[in-house]
Amino acid sequence: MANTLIELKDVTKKYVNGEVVTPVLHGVTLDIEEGEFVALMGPSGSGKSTIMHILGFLDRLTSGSYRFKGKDVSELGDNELAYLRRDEVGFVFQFFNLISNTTVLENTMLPMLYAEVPRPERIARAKKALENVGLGHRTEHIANQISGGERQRVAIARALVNNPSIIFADEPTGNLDTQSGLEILQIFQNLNEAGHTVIMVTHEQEAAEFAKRIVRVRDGNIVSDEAVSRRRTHKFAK
Amino acid sequence: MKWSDLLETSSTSLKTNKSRSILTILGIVIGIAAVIIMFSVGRSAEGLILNQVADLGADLVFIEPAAGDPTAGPPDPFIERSLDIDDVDALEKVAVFSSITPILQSTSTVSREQESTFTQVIGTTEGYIDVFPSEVLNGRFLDESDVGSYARVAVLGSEIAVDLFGDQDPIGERIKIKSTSLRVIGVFPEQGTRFFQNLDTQIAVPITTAQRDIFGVDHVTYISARAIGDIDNAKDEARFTLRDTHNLDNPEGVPEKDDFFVSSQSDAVEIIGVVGSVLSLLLVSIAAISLVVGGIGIMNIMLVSVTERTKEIGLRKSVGATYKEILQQFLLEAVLLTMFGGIIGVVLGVVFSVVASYAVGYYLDGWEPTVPISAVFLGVFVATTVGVVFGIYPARRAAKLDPIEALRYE
Repeated sequence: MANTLIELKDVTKKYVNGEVVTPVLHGVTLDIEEGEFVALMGPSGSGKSTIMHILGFLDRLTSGSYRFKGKDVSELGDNELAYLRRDEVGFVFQFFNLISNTTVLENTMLPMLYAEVPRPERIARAKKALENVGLGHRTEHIANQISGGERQRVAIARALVNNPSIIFADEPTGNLDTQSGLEILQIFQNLNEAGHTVIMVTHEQEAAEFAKRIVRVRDGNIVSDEAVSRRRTHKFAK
Repeated sequence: MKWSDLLETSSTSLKTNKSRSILTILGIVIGIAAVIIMFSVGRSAEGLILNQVADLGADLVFIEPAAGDPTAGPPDPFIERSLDIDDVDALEKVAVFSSITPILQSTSTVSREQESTFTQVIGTTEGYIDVFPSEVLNGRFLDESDVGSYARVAVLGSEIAVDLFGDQDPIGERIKIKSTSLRVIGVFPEQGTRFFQNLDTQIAVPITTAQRDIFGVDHVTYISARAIGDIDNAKDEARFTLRDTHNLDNPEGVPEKDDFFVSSQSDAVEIIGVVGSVLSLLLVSIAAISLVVGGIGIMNIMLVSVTERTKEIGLRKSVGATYKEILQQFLLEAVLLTMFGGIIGVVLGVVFSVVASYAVGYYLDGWEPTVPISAVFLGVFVATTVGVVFGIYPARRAAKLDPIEALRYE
C-alpha cells in the first residue's frame, strides 16, 4: 500500500475583501497517495484552483486540516510554506511563467538557486531535466524565442529539478495547440509512470482522461471522485 | 540563497534592462560628480587663499579706521579719517613692531605725454618695502628723505610701467598723477595679486606728497606692520597706544568704542576657515538635495520594475523564494544601481576637477588640483546609502506580494 501524501479534512476557504466575504470551498475532504495522477476538474469558479493552491502551499485554508506526509501544515508560517514549496512541490502553469530574456538553462536552474544547490550540480541537474523533456538541444536558447510547447516543457523541467514529491499542473494545456497539448499530457503521464505524483487542474475532459483518477469540483464541493476506466495516451510522432 | 547567487540574480536583471539602468543612475551620477567637483574646487580655492596668507606671514598686522568689525557695514565717514601719520609715529615708539608703514590708497588718473589711464595710487613710506618685502626692483624704492622732503617721485608696478612706457625704460622719466608731475625712480618686478588687488598696476609715491600735493587729505587708509614676538600682545599694545593718542576712554576694550580696528593675518585665516565651513555646509545641502532627487528617481524606477516583474516575483515565490530572499534581491538591485552610479559619478567628478583645475591654473598661480580621498569614499558610500534608503520601499512591496495574485497578474 502506497503512502498517503495528502490528507485534506473538511477544508473551507473564504476570501475576505473588506466587508465582502466570498466562500470558495465548503468542506473539502480529499486523500491523495504517492504515485497517483489526479485530475481536478470543474468549471471556472468551482474552487479547483483554490484546492490546488492550498495543496501546493501557495494559499492557506480557513478551517479544517491539511496533513502533508502525516504532518499538519495548516498552521505554518510564510517561511515554512516557502520551504515546502521549494522542497516538496513543483508547479507548471498555464502561461509557462518563464523569465524572459534569460536562457532555458537559467530558467530551469531557478528553483535550485533557492535550494542552495552548488552551481556545477545545478547545471548538471538542469541539463538532465531538460533532456528528460526532450529539450537537451535547447539549453542556451532565450526563453521567449522558443515555441509554446517547448516553453511548457521547460516549465516541466523546472518543476522537476528539486525532485519534488508532487508536481502540480494548472491548466497546462490551456495555452497550447492540440498537438503540443497532447505531447505535454503524455510527458505528465510518463512522469507518473516513472513514479512521480501528479496533480493536474483542468476543465477539459480529454486532458483529464490522461490521469488515473478524476476529482470533480463544483461550487466549492467535491461532487465525484472516480478512477479513469479508459486512459488516454498519445503517441509521439517521432 | 547564497550571496554569490543573489548578486548574480540582481546584476543579471539589471543587465537585461541596460539602457533603463543607465538612465536611472544618471541622477546619482550627476549628484555625486557635482559633490566631488564642488569639494575639489572649494578646497583648491581655500588652499590658494591660505597660501597667499601664509606667503605674507602670520605676523602681518593691519590697523584700519573702523568702529568695531570693519566687515560689519559701511564705515562712518568721520571714522574713515581717524588714522594719520602721527599714529604711525606713536606706534613706532611702542617697539612691538619690527616695521610699520602707513598707506593712503586711492585711484586716480595717471598720464604721461598723451597716454592717460586710471589706476591705483598708494602713498606710503620707506617702511613699505620692509612690511611687504619685494624682489629687487629696477631703480630704487622710496627712502626716508623722499618722504621727509615731499619729493615728487614715484615707483611703478610692472604692468602700469609697460602701459605708460612700453619698451622704454621709465627710470628718470616723468608722469603726472592728477596735476602733479613726478619723476619715476623705480619699477617693481611682477608681483601678481594680493587680496584680489593687482599690485602690478599700483603706483607708490611718498605719503607726504600724496597727502598734501596730490589728494589734499590728512588721513591714511590703513597702517600695516610686522609684529615682534607674540602677535596678540602686539595687537593689544597697538590698541592701548591708539586709544591714548586718540583720547578714547575705553578701558574695557569694547571694539565698538574704538575708532580703529586691529587685525592680523591669523584673524584672516580664521575668517577663511569660517567662510570655508559655511561654503561646505552649502555644498553638503546642495549635494543632499541632488541625492534625494536621484534617490526618488531610483525608487520610482524600482517600483515600476516591481510592477513589471510581478509575475516573475510570483514565480520565484512559487519555487520557494522567501520574503527575505525577494527583499534582498530587489534591495540589492537598487544598491548596485546607486553604487555603480556613485562610482561613475566619482570618476567623472575627479576627471572634471583635474581638467578644471588645469584650466583655472592657467590664469591663477597656485591653484592646485585637490581631490580629497575622503570625498571619493564618501561619494560611493553616500550613493550606496541612497540605494538602501530608497530601495527598501520597492523591495518590501515586491517581497510582500501574494504569490497567487502575483502569478495571475497580467
